[in-house]
Amino acid sequence: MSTTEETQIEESWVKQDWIYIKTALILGAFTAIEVFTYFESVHNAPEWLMVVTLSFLMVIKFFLVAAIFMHLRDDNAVFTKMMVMGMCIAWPVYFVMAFAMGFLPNWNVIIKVLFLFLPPAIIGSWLGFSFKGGDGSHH
Amino acid sequence: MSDETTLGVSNDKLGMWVFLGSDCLLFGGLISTYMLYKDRIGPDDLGAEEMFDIPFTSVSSFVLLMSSLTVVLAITALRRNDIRRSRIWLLSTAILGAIFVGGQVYEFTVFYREGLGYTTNLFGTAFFTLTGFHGVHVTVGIIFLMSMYIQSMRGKLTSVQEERLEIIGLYWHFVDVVWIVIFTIVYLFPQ
Repeated sequence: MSTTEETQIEESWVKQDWIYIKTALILGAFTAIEVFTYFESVHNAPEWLMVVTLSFLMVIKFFLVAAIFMHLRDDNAVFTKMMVMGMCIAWPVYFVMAFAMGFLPNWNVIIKVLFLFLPPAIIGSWLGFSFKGGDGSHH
Repeated sequence: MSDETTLGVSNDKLGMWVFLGSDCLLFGGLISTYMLYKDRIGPDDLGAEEMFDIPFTSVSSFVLLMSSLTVVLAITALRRNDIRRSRIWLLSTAILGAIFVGGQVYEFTVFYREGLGYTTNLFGTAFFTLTGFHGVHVTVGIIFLMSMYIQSMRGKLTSVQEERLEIIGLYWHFVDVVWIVIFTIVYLFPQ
């Protein structure tokens, strides 16, 4: 291997490590914002606003770890599809349970039904269209 | 890749993802149970708002979050055959994990002394089951990491076996992801 190639490889490693460090810094910053909502001055904000903000930050942190640290962004798409499929199954299961136990807020029935079916339907459609399938031959 | 595969992906890695998928359902169930029972406390019992020490738990959360960075740095170091640095990051991850578990043990002890036991009320049972299961997962992860560290010390972990460390890394990140959800829903959501 030539010196130029070695330098290029070394640079790509450094670049890769920087992506991870930057991701960790972003995750740390998001955690700090989350903790900030605990303080009294922010706690006086409406409950729905707190829940929406914290949920939004939680989802971003979740997907950052899954995409970058767990390599789903660069790895084989099968792993992403498996994870998304699990979430598609889990969503209605836990939603129905929360509905049955009276945990959900007093929303309109139509909104509840939309909340139950829309996310799995959208993601399920994406999954359905993204599966390419084989030609039936085995090598 | 050691075994034949028809999917074009490693069987071991696929196995870990399948396990993580099933673990997602386990934690989903435990989190839902906590959400349902968090308000089931007796009239004289202390509730979540009085018990939780958010600044302390925030520091533990930050420690666990940073351990995800150290494990991924251990994997990239091993990939480039930098065994020494990989070992340092591996050990750092295990230490950060141990600090997190230590914090959890301290938190459980404080709660118990303040009167919240496992069977005190449904809130206590749901809380200890959820966070206890997570703590066990972190402890298992530390054992995995330490076994990798020992193998590395004995010269049995090189860039050829990088996938083994990557699979353990997946498990560790999953434990981190679960804590991201628990920390927000259990500790930070308005009670």
